[in-house]
Amino acid sequence: MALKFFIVLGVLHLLILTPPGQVSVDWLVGLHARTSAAVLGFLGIGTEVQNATIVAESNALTVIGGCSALEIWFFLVAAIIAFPSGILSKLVGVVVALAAVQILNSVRITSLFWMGHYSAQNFSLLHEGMWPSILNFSAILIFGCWLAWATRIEHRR
Amino acid sequence: MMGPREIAGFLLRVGVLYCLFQAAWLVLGEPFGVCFRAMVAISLGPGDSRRELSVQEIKTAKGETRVEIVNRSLMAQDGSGPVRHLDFNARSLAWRPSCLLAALILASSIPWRRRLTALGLGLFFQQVVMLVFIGFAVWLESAEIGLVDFSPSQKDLLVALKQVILSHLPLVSPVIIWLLVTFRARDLRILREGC
Repeated sequence: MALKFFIVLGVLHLLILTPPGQVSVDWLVGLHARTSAAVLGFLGIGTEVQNATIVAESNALTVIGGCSALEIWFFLVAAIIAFPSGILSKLVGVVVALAAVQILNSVRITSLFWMGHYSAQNFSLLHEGMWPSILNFSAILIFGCWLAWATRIEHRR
Repeated sequence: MMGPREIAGFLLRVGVLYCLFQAAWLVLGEPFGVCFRAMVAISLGPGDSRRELSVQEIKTAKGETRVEIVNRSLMAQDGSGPVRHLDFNARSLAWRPSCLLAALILASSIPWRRRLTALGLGLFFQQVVMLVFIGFAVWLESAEIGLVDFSPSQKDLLVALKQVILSHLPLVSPVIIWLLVTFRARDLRILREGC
């Protein structure tokens, strides 16, 4: 189980280093920037997006590759694939985990921009203090929810 | 086999404990930073005939530790010469993974005696993993001042490896250590058979 986990994790990291992998990361950070800008607009903060940078009158935030939260998703994919369960359960787990992590990451980026806009002195508290912990715990939470769901599905069969 | 209700209870316990331990940084951050620097300084040592290493506190940033690497042969007689600085954050590198590990172990449904043994062992292994990573990062950085030689492709590979390890250290290492120190083969077999 552990070997499978590390192999999947390694393969995913190798894939991300390939040119298509890099294009995917660029697309993902751009998507995060556009999604966050849309939410910020809804919250009354006028922004525009230049590549992966969200720009407002008072501040700007660049979403870089390391902000994609892909490492959290990779962890989940590796854990779900390594855990003994049916192929359908794994497939659902991988897709739902991707959606959950990316939605959470968009919330993170939006909240970071919002904090930079209204209370810049607390930005690092949120960026380095709270969000890494929230993301780590979310990974455990998502895996736990998938495990509970997969267990129930497998028992019904 | 754990059912959905047991899993939900476990996740709730992990969440509460993780929040509590994280909040404790506000009080224990300062002394932990001192311990972190001491651990790093002891594990790296003062250097050798070619390399000089020193570990300092960065006063302006809480929990930040700076490792200074010097190549003795490149230093002038007046003490000037190229040095490399590597900054490590005690909170993200040591405190946060330790909190997650402690929360996972203490929330596990096993007898308290086993929990406490696992906690001691787990925290020890977690610090070892962190110190090995710091040693690796210092070794890699030493190449910048001619203490280690790499080809460009080797260097690219090692830098990528460092980034991968750094991105997974706060999550993967506590989870793996938790599984290794908390559960016995029989527990894992029950889990595996159930799903």
